[in-house]
Amino acid sequence: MQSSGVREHISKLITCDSFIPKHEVLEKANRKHGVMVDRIKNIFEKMGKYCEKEYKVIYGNLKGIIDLVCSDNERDFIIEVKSTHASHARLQDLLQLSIYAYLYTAQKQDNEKEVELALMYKYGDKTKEKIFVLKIEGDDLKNRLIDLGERLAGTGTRHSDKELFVVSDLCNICENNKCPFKPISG
Amino acid sequence: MASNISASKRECLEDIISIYHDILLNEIAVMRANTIVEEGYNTGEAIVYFSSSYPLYTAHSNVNRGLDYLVLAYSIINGLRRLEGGYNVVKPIDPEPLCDPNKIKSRLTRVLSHIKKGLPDIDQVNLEDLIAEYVLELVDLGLLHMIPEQTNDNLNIIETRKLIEEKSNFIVAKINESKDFHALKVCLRLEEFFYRYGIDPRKLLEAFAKKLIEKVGIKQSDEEQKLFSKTYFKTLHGMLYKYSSSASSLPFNPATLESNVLPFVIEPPLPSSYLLSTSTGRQINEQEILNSIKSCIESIAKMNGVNVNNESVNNISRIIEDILIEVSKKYPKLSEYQYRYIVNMFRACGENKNVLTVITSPTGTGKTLIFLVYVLMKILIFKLLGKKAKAIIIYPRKALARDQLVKIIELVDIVNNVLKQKEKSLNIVVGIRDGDSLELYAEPTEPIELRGLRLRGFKICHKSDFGGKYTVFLSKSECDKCSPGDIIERITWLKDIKQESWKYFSEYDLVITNHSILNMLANDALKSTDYMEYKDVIGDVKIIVIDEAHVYAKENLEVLATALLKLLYTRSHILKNTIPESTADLVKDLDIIMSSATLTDQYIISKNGKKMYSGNIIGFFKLKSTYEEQETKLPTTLSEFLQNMLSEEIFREYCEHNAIIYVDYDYMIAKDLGVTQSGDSIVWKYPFRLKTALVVNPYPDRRSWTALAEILIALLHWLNSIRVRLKKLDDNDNNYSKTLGLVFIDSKSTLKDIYRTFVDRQILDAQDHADRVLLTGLYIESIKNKKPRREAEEQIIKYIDKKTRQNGCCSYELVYKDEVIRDFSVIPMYIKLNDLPLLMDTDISNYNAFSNIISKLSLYHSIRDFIEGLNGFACKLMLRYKSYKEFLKNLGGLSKNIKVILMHHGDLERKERAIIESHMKGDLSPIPYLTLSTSTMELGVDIEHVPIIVQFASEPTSVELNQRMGRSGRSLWSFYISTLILVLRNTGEDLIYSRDQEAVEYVYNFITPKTYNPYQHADIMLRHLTKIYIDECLSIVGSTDIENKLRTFINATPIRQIAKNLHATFDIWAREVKSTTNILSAKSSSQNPQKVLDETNEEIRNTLIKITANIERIIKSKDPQAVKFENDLKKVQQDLSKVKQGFERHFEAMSYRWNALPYLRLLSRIYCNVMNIEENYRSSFEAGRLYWDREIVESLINSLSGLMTCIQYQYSLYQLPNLPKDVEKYLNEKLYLFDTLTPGLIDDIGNSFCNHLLIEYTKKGGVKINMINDPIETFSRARPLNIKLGE
Repeated sequence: MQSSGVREHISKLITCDSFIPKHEVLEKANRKHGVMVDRIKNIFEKMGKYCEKEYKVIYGNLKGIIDLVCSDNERDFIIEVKSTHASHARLQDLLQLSIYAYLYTAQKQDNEKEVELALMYKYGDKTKEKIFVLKIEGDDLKNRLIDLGERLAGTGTRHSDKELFVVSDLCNICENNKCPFKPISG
Repeated sequence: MASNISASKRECLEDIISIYHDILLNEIAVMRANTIVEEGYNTGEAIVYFSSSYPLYTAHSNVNRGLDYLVLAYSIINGLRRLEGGYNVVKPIDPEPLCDPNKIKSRLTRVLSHIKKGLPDIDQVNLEDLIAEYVLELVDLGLLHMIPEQTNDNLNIIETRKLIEEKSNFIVAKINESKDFHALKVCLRLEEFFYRYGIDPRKLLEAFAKKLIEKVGIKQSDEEQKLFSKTYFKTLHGMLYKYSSSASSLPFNPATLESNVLPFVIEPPLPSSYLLSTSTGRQINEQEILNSIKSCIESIAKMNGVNVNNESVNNISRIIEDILIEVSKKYPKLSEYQYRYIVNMFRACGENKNVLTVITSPTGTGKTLIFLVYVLMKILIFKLLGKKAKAIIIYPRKALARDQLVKIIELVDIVNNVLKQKEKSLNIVVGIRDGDSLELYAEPTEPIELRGLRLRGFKICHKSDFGGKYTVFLSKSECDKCSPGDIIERITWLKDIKQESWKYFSEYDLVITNHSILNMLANDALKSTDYMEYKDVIGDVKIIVIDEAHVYAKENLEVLATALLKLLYTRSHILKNTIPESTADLVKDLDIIMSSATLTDQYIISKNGKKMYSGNIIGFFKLKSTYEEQETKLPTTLSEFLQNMLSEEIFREYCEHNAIIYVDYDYMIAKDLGVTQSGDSIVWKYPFRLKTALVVNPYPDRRSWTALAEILIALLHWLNSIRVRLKKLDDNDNNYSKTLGLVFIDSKSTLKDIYRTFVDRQILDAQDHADRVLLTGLYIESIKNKKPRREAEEQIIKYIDKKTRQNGCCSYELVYKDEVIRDFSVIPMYIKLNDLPLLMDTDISNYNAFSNIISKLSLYHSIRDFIEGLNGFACKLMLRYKSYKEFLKNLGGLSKNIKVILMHHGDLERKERAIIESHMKGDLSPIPYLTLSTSTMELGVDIEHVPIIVQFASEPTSVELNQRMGRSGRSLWSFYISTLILVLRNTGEDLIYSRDQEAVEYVYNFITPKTYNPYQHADIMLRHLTKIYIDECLSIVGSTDIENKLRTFINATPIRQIAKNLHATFDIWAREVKSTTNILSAKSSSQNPQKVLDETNEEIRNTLIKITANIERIIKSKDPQAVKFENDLKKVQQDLSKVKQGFERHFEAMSYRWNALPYLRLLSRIYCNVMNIEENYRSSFEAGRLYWDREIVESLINSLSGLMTCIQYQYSLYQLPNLPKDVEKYLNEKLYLFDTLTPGLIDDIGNSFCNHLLIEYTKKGGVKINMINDPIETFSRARPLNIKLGE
């Protein structure tokens, strides 16, 4: 499974079985995304951490690419970077992070270091742009997310009634021509 | 009236309500899904707002949730932004398009000045202060309520902001739960919004805290600061939902189990409101319309062989133009929607097409004007060309709604006046004919109101004169008190009479009638010996309008369908002078117009058989912004509906000639308003109309009636709080003091029971209305039996005593925070800002101390007056007057202090209904707080002051429920919000609406109308066609002539094409008739039917003598109240004479070869009528008791029993030929004898005849006789005999 595949997988799992992403939207987002990952990597490196971009994780049949994994002696930071403004954070981001967290911990079962999970977004206006860190705090939520990741990566929690289409913000980047509720653009 | 208020005052009020809409939308989102209205998805049919965190964060509907101050402030700012420059309705939270904050500020200043009566100090302050000031004013008015935290899962942006910390390189937010993520997401979006508008959320909070201290004097202690961050705001509507969901008679007696807040629906304003205030709109006399009418004139002349030159065409054209100029004075602007229809219809006429026009849109969108302009002008063109043309408007009710009739009469008056001015010796004659039409007598009668109609400001009166002559006139005084000097003008072009012969129809140009009368006309025409006798009655029909066609989705479609078929067949026969040969023959030169409520809303949620999941949807905006392609394309559901109504063949006939006219209402509204889409953005700067709904489930072990009753108690206080609190907004005109609620209960008997039980039990006995504001201590006794109300004392007074003694608390904590009291008591509805210190500062230690605090509330006297007023009403209704009707008679004379609840149903006389409606409209005093009604209030009564509809049980169809919902929120005085509380029953069919998906589809009319195609069901068609034959059977058995007539009709090619299999079924049926009549003629071997028959004959004769004697007694009494009694009895006498004559005829023939079933039917109807007379008159006035002979009922029972014995005997010989084995076995065990020869009779308003006696033989040889009122039940139980019929 590719990184974008994980996103697609999540989208289908949590909302609509009929979801097919528009690829040009994703590609455009990817370009901006690279610049931001480098910026965060620099900051973490200046803080004395070792960072690895596009960190590949594999466990069983599942593969994924984590945007950034930074480590020091005590902790590993799993970072999912979003090039959007923090005000546009989506729940799918959190779920994507949860699958990575699961894959990472499953792959490194002998790792004794604490694993930190964070989503990072843009914040503020263009003149004073900062990075917004959404940190998963507390083992409880962290473990729940890892559990959830396991479930999502495995069987998935699909919507109970497949006959019904679920409207969400994903519909705006869906190009399933068979969907009867296609968005209308002017 | 409302319209008299100044424009500036109205603008301010409109702004207040419009801003309130944005607050309410977010509150519904919070109650439904604990989110706010962030984002929508535009499907082209509507914008669908969803909860973006679904499914990982889902919050169930909870009416206790409210808005925290930041969300509230955002809602207010966004509402102002929408009004000032518009916001993107696809993403309402998106700060783009930006609006100058100064404009927002200045608009808010203007609104606030209106509320505060122009105090100058508010002009200088900043936006944060203004918002705080505004919020406190809304709280003071009761449009907003401040409540402390009541649920631990309420979205709280103030608290969520505390999660965000600024560090050197990053802004960090640490989250512990998925709900934190959701809240943070909303918080970040709001922060961005505030930031873009230069608003600091901290300053917003500080400004409010400061204002609160200033205004209320609450100290800013730490505890209160903490309390403030957990304070939520609920709207007036949110409070109603909260208290309806927890309604109970006593604190520990829940009447409701759970509730579900449905998504909101936003709709654009109606054309009638925006056409007046904007520059948009068209004129009825625009050149495009005039040109299309001109070509229509030429086309009609050509097709009817009239030679006309240009001058003649121009002359006719000029007359029509003059008429349209006059019409435009009454209707200065047309919406694009109306305009398109009118142009397209006349254009099609000019192209020599006959059209099928389909008009479907909400109430108040001008549908009647569309078809009337076309109908009247087309009739006129024919007449001016020296040809005849007639139009029939058919509606599915007993009588057409008054408001609808007024429109028709006014337009015809305009047309006729212009014709008079032009010295044309012709006019358009309107004939109304339905159950309410005036019966003509040989003797003169007193003039009476013609359906309460007015014309040119005068009353329309009519009367019967010498020799059955009929007069209609305009009077400046009451019709019954009208002297010759009061008569303004005689009206010769309007008639509303009932006559035996249809010939009087020939003078009408426009016939207004219902499907039932149409069916009678069609039957008579079909069985006439010479169709040409009906030439002037049917042959000239050029246009048929089927109004309120949505009603046929539920019932009477088969009546309409068969009536239409018979009518079209006869019409064609007349025109061709031979049997019609094709469907084209049936609809030759005929326009059909169908007008209905919206039938296309299902596309909002379903398409191509797929549906949206409702669970994560928080709202809809019915807006179509891309109108180019689809404006005239007939949606599939509509074409299916039409095929079911008119038959596939007739529909196809119009389709193939490209002669279907349809204009999409929603697209046209968007076009009128110039709403366009750019990318994903649709900027909307207009007001909204909202729909909101709550579904309440009763507690499983309680009666659903109890849930309804307790909700009504909460509702009464809610309505009262509006009346007393919103005065300030409109103190000169006091429109809010007319506020009332409408409660729909479909069954008449249930309605009457609920009404009386509610007044008797909840008000008189239990004093629930006093308990719910915790005034139990003052109303300690039941008024009904003067006994102490122990339970209330125990559960309210003692509970408060115990609670306060143990813990010692202030009244505020008791009322707002105590888990028992806060849900039970509705007292917060009456708490004003300045009451808060009183409630917070003083600790109480027992109920009396608390009661003392309540007595000091600012609105205490309003609460007391209300309780006393309701008690006064209940005493009058239950203890003083003998009946509701008597109470109604005295309604106008009641003291001002009495607060009334009324009931409206079809059993009331028209005059009584008119009185109730006048009270409801505020024309007469007192204005009821609630009116409980059957479907009678569903249409036609337009009241501006109804903010809420309660529907008990899921009886109405989805379209009907929407019509009812549309009775509320029609004006500023009902907030432009249609609000529905659907109270379900604890029964199977209602429980389905506990599911969100089903409830959303049902309540908002997202269901495809489920019509069936009667043309495909031969036995259904047969039921209606054979009525003619059965009616004839009353006098003659086996009328060959009628049978042959029917056979010819059924075998005509187009009828065989349209109603497939009908001819075969008819053959089986005809054989059965013969076979049954033979069986009936067989002699008994074990009984002596002759003896029974003799006795029955004697009994019928005796009954008739008793009735005649009774009538004579009444006449002698000269009691004016007994007149109707006399008339009703005379009708019974007349019917019974028919039965007697029938019997005697057969006795003379000494034959059993007769069908007794029609007599049984007639006799059972007589029995029912007599029972009604007995019930109505014995209970309602003294004369009934004095003159009523109780033996009449007994005699009738004996007659019925005797006749049934005869029929049972006859049927005991009845063998069904070729019956399948299993059916035979079933019938042997349980033989139903049902009048198979009279399937599907219809009553006066077209309902299947439901006066069936079902005779059931038991295994042991006993006989059970059931009177069944529900035709569906009758048919399903009697099905065994119908099996054969269908096969």
